[in-house]
Formats: sequence, structure tokens, C-alpha cells
Amino acid sequence: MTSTFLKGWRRQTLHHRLMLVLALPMTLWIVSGCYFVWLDLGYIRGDHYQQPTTYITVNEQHVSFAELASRYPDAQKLDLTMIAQQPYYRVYLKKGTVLVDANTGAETQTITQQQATDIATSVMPNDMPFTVKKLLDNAPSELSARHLPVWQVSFNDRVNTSIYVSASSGDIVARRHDFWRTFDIFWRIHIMDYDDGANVGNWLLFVATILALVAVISGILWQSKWWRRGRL
Amino acid sequence: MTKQDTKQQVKKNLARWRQWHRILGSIVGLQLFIWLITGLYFNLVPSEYLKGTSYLTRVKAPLTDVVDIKPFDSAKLLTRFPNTEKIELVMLANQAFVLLTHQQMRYSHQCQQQSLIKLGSSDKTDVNIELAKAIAMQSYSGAGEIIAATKMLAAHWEWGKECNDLWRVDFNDKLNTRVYIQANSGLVIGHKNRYTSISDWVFRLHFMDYLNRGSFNNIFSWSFAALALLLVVTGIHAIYQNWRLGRYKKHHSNT
Repeated sequence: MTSTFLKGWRRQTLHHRLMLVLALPMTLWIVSGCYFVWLDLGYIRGDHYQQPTTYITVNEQHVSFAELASRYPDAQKLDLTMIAQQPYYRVYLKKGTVLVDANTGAETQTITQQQATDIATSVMPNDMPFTVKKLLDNAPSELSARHLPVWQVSFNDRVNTSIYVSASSGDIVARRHDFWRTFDIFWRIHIMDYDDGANVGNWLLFVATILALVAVISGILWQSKWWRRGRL
Repeated sequence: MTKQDTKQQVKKNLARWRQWHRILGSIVGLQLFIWLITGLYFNLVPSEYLKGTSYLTRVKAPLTDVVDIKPFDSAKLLTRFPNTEKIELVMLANQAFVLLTHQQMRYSHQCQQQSLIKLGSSDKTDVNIELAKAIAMQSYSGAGEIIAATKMLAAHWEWGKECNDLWRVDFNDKLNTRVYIQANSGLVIGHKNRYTSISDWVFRLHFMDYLNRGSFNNIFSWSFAALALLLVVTGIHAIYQNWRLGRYKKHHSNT
């Protein structure tokens, strides 16, 4: 029994025994890694869903930056941009963002459903059927809660695209589709954090990596025996 | 076919698959080792060391300082710079500027095009050395002092994706912190230090980004991922054939 145990620690056997345990995680690491590298990251991130370039146009009587700064002395940031073809100031306050129509000076706390729809549909091919929902409290798992409140515009296309438009700034804050969702699942599998995929420094990954290192080194050492014999 | 014949057939089959496994292992083995070592590094090293954020602080300067400053006319500005997607009032080291964005970076091959105008002026300006130092100091929470400020032309080794000129401001702290600032906008794009010098190489090795494109979508990773997949397939097949031969039974030592 003793001699069998010692023989069992030969590097060939060590490689075999460890790989029996590690076959599944190694396969998952490599399959998920293949998905990451073979699919273009720009496509995964939704770079193809981009708003057309819109340059700012304002009328002669528009509200000035100085007026805005006086009206909102607590503002941390101010910018002027086009939202659904209309010029808007975005006033960033500690408690949230306020939108001000640059031509009329009218203030609003949130963009309308129609504006959100116009923004989301501008990045998609024409006539794609969709549904719109405003999310106030509960963010779906594919969206960070810091983006709330948002308009979720879900398209009935082949990859189930969802465009998330911030209700307070009009920015597109997330673009999700099935390939992104698969990427997210593979990411959790790759780093062995099956909860939210945020913790790379987890124990399971540490133990599996150490064992895999031992298995790979034993495999390389075993292989070196064949190299020394001049064979692959 | 007798049981013995079947066993011989399985052994022959196994030898062939094992040979392919060894050939693939000879090609991929070293990179597989690198993937595991670098993966272990990501697992063990805290994120601030990976990202260089040890002394990074984001100060939001109060905009109220701007109120009394001479107002500017957006319409006139837009006549002069008609191709503008966004106008921002920004504070850079407690000075007010207007930042015009002409081209947002929508795709990785596009370059963000921006103009910086000092509030009260009508001319474009670039971040000069004094302003770069002041911006760097405001983004820095360490105890070091500035020892150098250098302007770097686009295509930087440390910021592979950055297409604009940068200011690099060096601090004499124990981490050798470097602060990088866009020369056309004053935006702090990040900090680097002695830890990120290691981490950047670890990322390059893990992503096989040997051409420093800042991406894992490259010819090296495509091909080695395919070979690694074949290595796993041949390995699993060898396990299956070993199992068929009964080599995982308790008292079987000859594998």
C-alpha cells in the first residue's frame, strides 16, 4: 500500500489525478476565455448602438450659462447638449440632476417617455418593435443601481437588445444584448464568483489556480521526459 | 471482436489522443502556465495596486466660484465652433474653463476631439505646464512633491488607447506616482506607479497583448485560445479512455 501511495505521486500520476478534479474548471476557464477573445469586446459593449452625431443649436434668446449658475449656486457641474433634438442644460446637484430647456428656461426633473424612446430608437434600425418601462427602484441584474432612475427600452430583435436611458440626464447608460449577457455569465464562471462577478480575490479561485498550477507544472515536467528522448 | 481486442483498440486510440495532447501541451504549456500565474496575481493583488489608485482623489470643485466671472455667449461660441456636441463649464485647478466636445469617442478607433477655452477669453488654449502641475496636485492625495512634468505626444506605451497628447507629472513619493492629464482637455486620465508598472505587464501577459493594443482581441489570443481548447478536448478524451480501461480503480497504479 505504501509503495502504491509513493508511486501515485509520480509526476505523471499527479498530473492525471489532479486533472480528474480540475477537468471541469479548466474547461470552463478555457471555454469562457475563448468566448472573451473571439468575440469583439466593442460588439459586446454595444459600440454598434451609437447615437448619431448631433451638434448643438440654440436660439438667440437662449438661457446663458451665467444665468444657470446664478439660479443653481449649488451646482457641481453644468453642461449643454442636445437631448432628442432639443438643447438642454444638465445641472448636476448633490441631490440629483435637473434638466433645463436651453431655449425656454423651463426646468424638468426627468426626461419624458417619448424623449427616452426617441433616444433609444435613434441607435437602432428603423421599425424595430419595442416596449418601454420606467425603472425607479429595482435595477435588473444587468444594470448598476447607480444609474436609477432609468427608462428601459427593450427591442424585439434577434439578440433581445435593451437600451437604458437615464431619466435624469438623457444619457444612454447601458446597452445590453444576449451576447453581453452570455459574456457576463462567462465572466462569473471565469473568476469563479458566481454571486455578482465583482470579487476576483475569492478563495475558490485561489485554491483552483494553485491546484491547476501544480497540475500544469507536473504535466510540463512529465512532457520534458519525452523531449529528452527527442519525441513530442 | 473479443473483450481483449476492444481493450487493445481503446489503448491504441488512447495513445494517439495522448500524442496529440502532448504536442498541443508542448505548444500551449508555457502560455497556460503564464495564464495561471497572472490569474493568481489578479486574485491576490488588491485592485488599487492593479489600477494605480492608491493616491488618486477626485475633487469636485464648487461651481459657485464661477458665478461672478464674466458670462459667455454660447451662441457666439457655437458660431465660431459649429461642430460641437457638448459644452461644459469645468473647473481645472480652481480656474473656470469652457470645454467643447466636437467628437465623442464612440468607437475605439475614434479619437475624442475637444477644445478648451479659458472663461472670459475666446481663444482655444492647451493645458500648459503650470496648469498641468496644479491639476495633478489636485488629483493627488499622497505626501510627495512634484519633481517633473513632461508633455508626451500621442501613442504612449503606458496608455495604448489614448490618442491625444498627454502631460505626465511625476511625484517623489515611495510609489513613484505619475499623473497623466490630457493636454487638450485637462482631464486626469489616471495615475500610474511602481505597482502598475508590474500590473500592466501582467495584464499584457494574461491578454497576450504583446503589441500593446490595450485589448485581448488579438491574433495571439485567438490562436492560443483555440489550441488550449484542443488541449482540453484531447485531455478529457484521454481521461475518458483511461476510465474505459479501468485505470482509475483504487488499486490500479499503472496509469
